[in-house]
Amino acid sequence: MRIRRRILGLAAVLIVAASAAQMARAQATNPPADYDPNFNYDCDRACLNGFLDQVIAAMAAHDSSSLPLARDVKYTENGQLLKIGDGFWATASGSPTYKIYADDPQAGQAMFMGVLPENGAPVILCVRLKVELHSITEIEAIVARKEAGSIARPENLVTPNPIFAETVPPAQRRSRQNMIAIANSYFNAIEKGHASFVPFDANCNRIESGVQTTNNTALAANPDSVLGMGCADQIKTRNFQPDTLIRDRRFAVIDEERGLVFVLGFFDHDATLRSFTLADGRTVKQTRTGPWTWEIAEMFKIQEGKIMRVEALVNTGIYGMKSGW
Amino acid sequence: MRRVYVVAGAVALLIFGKFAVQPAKAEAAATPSPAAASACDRACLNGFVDQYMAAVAAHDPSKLPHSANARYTENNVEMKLGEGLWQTSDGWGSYKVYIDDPQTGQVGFLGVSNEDTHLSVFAARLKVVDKKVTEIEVIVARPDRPGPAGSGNLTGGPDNLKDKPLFSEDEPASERVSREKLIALADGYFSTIQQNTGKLFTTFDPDCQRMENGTVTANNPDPKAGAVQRMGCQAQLETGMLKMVTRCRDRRFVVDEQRQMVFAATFFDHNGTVRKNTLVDGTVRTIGAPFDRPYTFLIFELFKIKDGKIRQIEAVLNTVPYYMPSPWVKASK
Repeated sequence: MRIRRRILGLAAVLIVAASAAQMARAQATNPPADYDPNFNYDCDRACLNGFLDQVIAAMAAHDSSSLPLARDVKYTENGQLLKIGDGFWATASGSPTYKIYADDPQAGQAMFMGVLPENGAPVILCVRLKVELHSITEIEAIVARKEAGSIARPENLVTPNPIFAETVPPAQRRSRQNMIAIANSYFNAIEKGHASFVPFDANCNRIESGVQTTNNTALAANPDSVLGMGCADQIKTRNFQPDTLIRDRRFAVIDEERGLVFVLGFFDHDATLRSFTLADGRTVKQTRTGPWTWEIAEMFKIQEGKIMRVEALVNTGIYGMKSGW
Repeated sequence: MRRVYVVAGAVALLIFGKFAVQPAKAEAAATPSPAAASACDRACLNGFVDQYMAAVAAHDPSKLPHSANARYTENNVEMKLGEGLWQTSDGWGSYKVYIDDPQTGQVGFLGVSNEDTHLSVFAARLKVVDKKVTEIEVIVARPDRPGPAGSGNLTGGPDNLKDKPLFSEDEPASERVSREKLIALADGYFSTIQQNTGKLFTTFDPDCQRMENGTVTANNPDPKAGAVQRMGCQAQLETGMLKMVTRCRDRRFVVDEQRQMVFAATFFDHNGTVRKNTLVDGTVRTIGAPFDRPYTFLIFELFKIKDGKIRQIEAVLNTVPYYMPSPWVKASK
């Protein structure tokens, strides 16, 4: 890990602690300028979530001045390098109403998925942070808005499934690499069109940008729709053949305690398949004829080695676009 | 902002400077005059566009003479020759506009691409060095392109693209303006939009009309068109109504002196913070969707100049993520 220096804020000396919790936060976000053997340099779950909350509050306040940002902090929004203060930092307009956190103290990374207003209209927001020595060195935001080509339905996201905040009993946890392998198998299965090697729980469900896209009988009125099926059965239909490449997968946050893996990446569709044959022999005509890409942030809940639930932000991107990382 | 504009201009000048000194190896020694500095004249440049189109339709880059390290971008994303539209093309529509710049070995092109009968407004820039294509930059404004409703998703579409004799007319030598003046007129158009004070930094012909992705968005003769679309190019910009365009970034120019046309590449950034706009006449307008969020237009824009005035504008644009840099411009910030 590269050690980066942070810009010291005046806030460090001005903070007056009003409670033990505030004291803890103040210590967590304002390390001493010089090495102090008595300072707790670790940043645990509460510390990481505190950083996430501060960043999101700063976005809504259009004011990043009190954030403990590293001098060379890097910010991207929807894959583009921006200055902090530009983009969503200038248009966010309120507090989050739907919040899911995943924390990886070992890697110093944390992710947030939620709903925030932007100039009054709700959008789905994902934020990834990297924190080193209590300074924020990386901020990556993806904003999914309701617009042409977008599937985002932020109004559907009201209360997160409590499973994401539940601690997995130690005996039911898997190693970090095992958790990555499980999440990775999901993407491989979509690319390959068979799901036998993916350890789905029988009750696995998936939400994408606010839309429940498995076991959703309400959206499955069309007999050709796969949305009424479960996580595994959908893939087995070979319905995902237009997903030609799941690219640039970054397993950014491994939350061992809660069994969460947060992945960033892209689903490329080269649009060379004009029609394709499903596992049951039916032929499906592709409606999109030009290549396109989905920019995704996808979270997996893993318990006893099985994928219990998947929740994703899916943004329509430009074919082949890069992440900025 | 002014600084960014100056930097963009400087980048453009550097690019032209670079192109201008590239030798046409076969002819340079024998014909050292600047006019003959390129090995590829108008017919040659147009021929490369035609070969490019045939190669795309055949899904075969080898049918296009290109350098070993030729670069290709599609909708501002760099990819390999053979990817993207190269894989999905089913040929082209009949609409074709060529903008030739033999001095820099560049050619701009407007057309219509076809992917399984889905037609898209299309624009491209090619660069040719030593009779080989070295750069291909295209925008494919597909009918299902993403973006805020009402922004780039204009309703006109490729069906409205009919040949305009203006774009294939040579201008009499006595009525031409210099290469530098042509660039200044196009660049001034963007400066006018970026500053939006109502002050003009360019000159319009009274008959100036603008088309964007097949929709006439200025001087629209259709009585059913919106009030703004019926206004002339100059009248629109004199109102100062476009303040939501916070920057016209990374401007680059291909210049056809013979036909007095400029083919510009740029981005229109909308940072989403301009929620109210006071027009030149004092009217206060509330700005809502689609300008209430950060996003950017990726643009190729053609200017036809007659007698030193902008007579016709035709743009091809796609919505891209806010502040997306150009793979063709080294420093966007």
